[in-house]
Amino acid sequence: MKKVKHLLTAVSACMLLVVITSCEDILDQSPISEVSDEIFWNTNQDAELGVASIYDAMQRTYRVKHFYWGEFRSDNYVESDQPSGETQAMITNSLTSDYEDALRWNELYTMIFRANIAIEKIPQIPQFNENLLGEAYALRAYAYFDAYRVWGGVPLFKEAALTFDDSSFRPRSTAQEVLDLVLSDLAQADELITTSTSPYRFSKASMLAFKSKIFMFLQRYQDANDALDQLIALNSYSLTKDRVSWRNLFLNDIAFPDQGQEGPELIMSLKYDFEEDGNRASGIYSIFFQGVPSVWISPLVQNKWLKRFPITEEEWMLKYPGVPAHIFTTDPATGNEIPIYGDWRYYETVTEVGSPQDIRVSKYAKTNYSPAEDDTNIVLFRYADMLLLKAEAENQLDHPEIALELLNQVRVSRELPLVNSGTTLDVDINNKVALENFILDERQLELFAEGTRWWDLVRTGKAVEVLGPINGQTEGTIDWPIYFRHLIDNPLLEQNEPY
Amino acid sequence: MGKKIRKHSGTLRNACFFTMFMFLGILGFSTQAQVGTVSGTVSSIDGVPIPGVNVLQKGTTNGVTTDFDGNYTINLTVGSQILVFSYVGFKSEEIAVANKTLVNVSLNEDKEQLDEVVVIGYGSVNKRDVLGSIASVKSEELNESAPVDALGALQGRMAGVQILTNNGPGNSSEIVIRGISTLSGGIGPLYVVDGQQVDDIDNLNPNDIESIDVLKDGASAAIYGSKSANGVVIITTKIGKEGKPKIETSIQTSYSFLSNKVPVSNTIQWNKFLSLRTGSTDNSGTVQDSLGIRSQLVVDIQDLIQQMGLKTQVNVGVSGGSETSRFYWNTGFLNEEGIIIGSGFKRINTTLKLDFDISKVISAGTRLTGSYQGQEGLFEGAVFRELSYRQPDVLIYDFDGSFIRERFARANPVARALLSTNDNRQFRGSSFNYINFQLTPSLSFKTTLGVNYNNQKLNQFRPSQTVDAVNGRINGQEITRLSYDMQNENYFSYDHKFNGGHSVTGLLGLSIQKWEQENTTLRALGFNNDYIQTFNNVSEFDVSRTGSEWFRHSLSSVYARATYDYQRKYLLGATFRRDGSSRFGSNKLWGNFPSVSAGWRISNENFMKSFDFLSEFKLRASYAITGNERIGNYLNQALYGPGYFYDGINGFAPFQLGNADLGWEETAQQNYGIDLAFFNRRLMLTVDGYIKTTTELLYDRPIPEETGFSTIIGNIGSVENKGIDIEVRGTPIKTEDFSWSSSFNISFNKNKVLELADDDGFEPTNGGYLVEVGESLGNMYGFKNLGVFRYDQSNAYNDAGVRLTPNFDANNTFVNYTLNGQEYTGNINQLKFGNRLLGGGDAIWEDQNGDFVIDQEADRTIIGNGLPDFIGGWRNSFEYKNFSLSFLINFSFGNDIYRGYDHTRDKAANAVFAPGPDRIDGAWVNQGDIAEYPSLESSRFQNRTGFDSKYVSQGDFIKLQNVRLGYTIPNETFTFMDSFSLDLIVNNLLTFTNYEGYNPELGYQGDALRPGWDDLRYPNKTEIILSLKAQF
Repeated sequence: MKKVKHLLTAVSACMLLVVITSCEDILDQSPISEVSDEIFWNTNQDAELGVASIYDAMQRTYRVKHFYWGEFRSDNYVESDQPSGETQAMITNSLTSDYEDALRWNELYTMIFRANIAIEKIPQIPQFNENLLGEAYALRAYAYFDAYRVWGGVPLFKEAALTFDDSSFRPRSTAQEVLDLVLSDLAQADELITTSTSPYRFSKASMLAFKSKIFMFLQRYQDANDALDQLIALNSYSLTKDRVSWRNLFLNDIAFPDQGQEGPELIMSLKYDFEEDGNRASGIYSIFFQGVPSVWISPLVQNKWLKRFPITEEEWMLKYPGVPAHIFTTDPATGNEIPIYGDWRYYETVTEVGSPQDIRVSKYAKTNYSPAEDDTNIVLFRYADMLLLKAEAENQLDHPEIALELLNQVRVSRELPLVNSGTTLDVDINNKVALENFILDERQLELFAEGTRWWDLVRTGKAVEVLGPINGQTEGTIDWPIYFRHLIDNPLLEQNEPY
Repeated sequence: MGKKIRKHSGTLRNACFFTMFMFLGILGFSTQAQVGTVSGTVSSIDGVPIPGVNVLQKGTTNGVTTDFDGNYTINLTVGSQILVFSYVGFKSEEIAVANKTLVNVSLNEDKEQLDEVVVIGYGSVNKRDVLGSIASVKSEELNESAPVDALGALQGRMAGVQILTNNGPGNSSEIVIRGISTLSGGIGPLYVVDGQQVDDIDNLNPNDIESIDVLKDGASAAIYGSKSANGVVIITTKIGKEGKPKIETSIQTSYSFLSNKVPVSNTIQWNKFLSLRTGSTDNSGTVQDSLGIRSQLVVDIQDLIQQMGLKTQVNVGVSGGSETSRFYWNTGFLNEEGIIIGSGFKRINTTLKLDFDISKVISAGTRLTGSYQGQEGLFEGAVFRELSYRQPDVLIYDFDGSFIRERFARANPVARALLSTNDNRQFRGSSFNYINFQLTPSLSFKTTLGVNYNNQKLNQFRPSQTVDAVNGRINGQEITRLSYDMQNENYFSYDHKFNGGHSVTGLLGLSIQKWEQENTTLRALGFNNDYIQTFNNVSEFDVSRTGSEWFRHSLSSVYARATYDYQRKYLLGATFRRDGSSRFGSNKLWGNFPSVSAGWRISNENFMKSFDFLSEFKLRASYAITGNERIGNYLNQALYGPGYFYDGINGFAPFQLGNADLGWEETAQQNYGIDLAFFNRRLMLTVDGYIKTTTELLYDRPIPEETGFSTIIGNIGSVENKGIDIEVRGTPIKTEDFSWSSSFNISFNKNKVLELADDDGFEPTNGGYLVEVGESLGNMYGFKNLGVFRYDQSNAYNDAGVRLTPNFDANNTFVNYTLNGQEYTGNINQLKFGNRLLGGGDAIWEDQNGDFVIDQEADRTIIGNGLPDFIGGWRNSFEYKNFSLSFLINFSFGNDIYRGYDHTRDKAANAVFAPGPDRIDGAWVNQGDIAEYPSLESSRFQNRTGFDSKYVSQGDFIKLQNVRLGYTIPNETFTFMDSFSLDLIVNNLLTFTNYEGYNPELGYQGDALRPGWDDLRYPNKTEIILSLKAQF
């Protein structure tokens, strides 16, 4: 018995020893298919990969929000006979904190988080790529600028935190603080970015475009005008001059293989690729053209368009006597060419699908396909947009004749008659307000379904004026509500007043 | 009679003697001529007297039982002068009296009599000495329903053990032991097969199983430390017995069919819906083109996809052994066609088990298994969900007999079931070896080495007929999951019975376990054609999702156990295990898991002597801390991974935040039990009460999304399960020809969340539920439906939120409001949803915060709970001569089901969904309608959103789970066989339930927080099985 006890003690002591020395090693399992923070961020190649992931978050953030935020609360759309709660709420000015697709900011903050890390880590890389750091600043500015436009003040996260603790709960900063960060990031990006142009990433050119948008929003017209002048002076972009080229700026439809999403006007787009980004990468098709749409194009816009550029020969000739049509169709019976009057942008943008009310945006897709396969790029900055912004700026800076020139530059490229060339006066260019409204209307038509109209109305202070009669828009509800789950998850957050 | 039954087995033989004695003894056939008196004491081999031993004069009905001190006195009658001593748990002894007057007997414990032994971790104990709560099922009962998976066969047979079957062929069942005590995915227990730890037992042939013991209480399970918090299921497989080799074969053929259908809308209802959703009041359901084929053609998709399911199970086993070796070799084959076209399951498995006694000291053994299982699965969403809301006027077949192709993401359920591939195949192998050194009679050392290997292949393919008509592409994916693990254990066992009735056991060991998993995914966006479905025929790969991953995980442990008992009267036990897991943070790498238990067999006390009828009375108590380490690997570290593509660059980003404090879930469990047996164990009652408190719950806790992340895994809270398990077993009748035995179990469990990171709780991913402090898990969360406003004027409340009654005159013109019969002239408040004032035909949702605005933020409440209040089963078996009949009833009460599928279609979130028939027929149309459902007008957005108590159903059910009628052909008939039996089995014969879906029984499918969510899964089936068994 005693022997056994000794043996037992000895063996168990050995066993314990083995456990204590070797088992700690057994438990040290480092990941194989992932890497830790210490290993990453060593080279500019790492920085390249890190910055790509910010754009990746941007893709997810803006796939529908670019449009929801940019124009669904404007006068561009009405509810269809199958409205969805969310689009209905935006169109009818009845937003509450319930609506996830428009209000949830998780992906926006993922974009900010990834930018924060890049901004902190890239400078630690020996001989780091400044351009990449600049892009990270630009991306963060982009995200916070939208947060500023949408909600006003939001919680500010500027540092790379890979842990979760009490400091992860933050109250909303003031709108001014958010804006200050945007402007300082903008300055940083401006300094660092060296690439002159790039169709899908921030470059010197897209920075100018981005800056001019921000300055216009802040009504800093001189600054905006300066940035726009620099952009034009790059001589890298020009307006498309015919229907097909214009269509091809936006088109992404398998019925038109190998066409679209290219052209001299595109300064920067958010690129989607089905192979890389998977199902429903982009939300454009499902918002604008899908089988049973929740919204239709507003008849008000349709009428505005047709009034400006009539599509019947009779009305056209009444307004623009002697101005020939630029597009034609072939009469199947006789083989003769029949002229089509009006604005060809209208035919490219608006399509009647089912009932006469069922008019949809056909700018991106003209035929039905599976929304899962949608990888339509989102145009963020476009040359025509910039020229029309400049027209606005010049008008504000009391140069209406330059504004008119810019408007006409766009009109000529669209093969349309010049402003005020018709039998009825379009606008009194010496009336600053009237000219502003006229430019905004021109923008509405040119930039329809590009996520600009609501911001145009907000930044010019016309949201209540234009939308009040339509849906009872008030000043108070121009800011959007904060998604209710954010308020639940973070008790420090306070909802915007009217909600 | 003795002769006939003796051939069956020792167990039966003993039982027969016992029975005979019982029957005759109790009924008092005892007046016979006396020829002498014999007395003596019966004790166990270690000298402890055994009360209640049956002493019988062989060949007669004359018998007595030993008293409390093991003494007996029997008056012999004419006939055989041999006494038979029998007692459950011991080998019977036959002793010739030969004119002796004193016959003292010591009985050997019968180790083979498995009924009485319970396997626990690293050893076994006599069932009567169990201090924890252990439920056991033996082979015979397990195979009563001719099951495909062993777990499914346990349903209703064990108190406190909930089994949820997932109906599709090859879908494994789920087991929940004593409630949900985790928030993350791992609700399942640990499985230990002959000492080898495994994650599941899907590949096990139920025919190979000798017994299943479920360790329910903490103290029993605690020896498995960090893997034991959800209980431990110990499986012992069969082994050969000494004697000439035996061949056992069985063939089982089963026919099964769909138990019930779910209601779906027809074309008239669909037309009605199309009209009503525009706001029209035309509910005639007619259309202009009423003779068109789309209106005329009625197809019942459920008829098209159902079929008679056919299942064949064949089993051939050889077993035998010599004095020093034993073997068991069994091969099983199973082929099952599901009750839905395109679903099926195949399994082939073989097990070889060998044991050798190499010398008196060394014994060794091995178990080798190999199995193939192939499941032909369905895309349940594209088949079942689709058929529930498919537009009835969209045809299935085109005029030329081909399938109508998918359009606008509306799948053709028949084409998808029939033509698309969703296969899950597993090629598994395992080897488990041991060497045991019997160092002294009391002390042994055992070393084991186990290896599991599993190569799983998941193949999905959608041929051209099943993809979108216009721009669909033939696509598919293949996932290969290669996983293997190694387990090495070394332990000393000590077992000694000292003089004076003291017995001591001890255990000390250590183990190392390692798991590896390698996953490879191939995905194709397009194939060239349907001809070749392998990935050499790809036209375009899905670059972003084609790739591979590799994970590792390891666990290192030391463990010990000691038990002590005195005369089997006072029993004590304690265990301890220390585990280290690679899954946890540097601050929480190691965890300690202790347990203590104690038992008092009152029936062995002297003062209990007079209570003869009480054969057993034992009190038990135990306390333990167990753990759960089942979360993903590397979750404690902040990690970067690729996969964030932009413009041709495969970007890197952090995908999780670090948490160095990530640690175990700990469950402290108290268990109090009482074991009672009456009338010589003819009636047995076991009651166990428990309180299980799990702390440090692991969960992906929602965090402010401003951090860039939605969740972080952490130890966030605490949940409690309290309950009672009751089990009654008995043999009310036992005669020579007829016996009836019955067992009933019922268990009550109450769940409560004690603590969370956020006091106001959180909503699990996918919604519809709320986890909240002070409430049970499984609470459904949504709007409380109070009906439908009849008139626009019906939406009227006083300031206190009491609804006013609108009154109308004969022309249906509004007159005034009344409140409690009095005219009301005060302030009138009206409910709004969003900015919309509600009116006639809108759903009335309870305004929880009294602000007259219905919103998600403040007006949702608890509308049901998916966890049952009590569950249980009742089994009866009858034997009459060569016939046997058994049936099993299984029940569950108090659980609610959220009809997710009904919700989805009725809310018509997608404009092409067809709502259910009662939704359409019961919709409000005109002012004043008394309607069950609100208006279908699609612009009334409230009626199309939100989780709604209207979709909560009671999930109570009573199921006649299994009926088995058996006949054993008398031995004389076929002399070349040892036995031959024939059984007719019906599974799932009847279900009594108010639930209208396919099946009120819903597995968790990995989501512990959303019990009772029915998104329409593979339907329930009724199964008729014919079984033949022969032994040579």
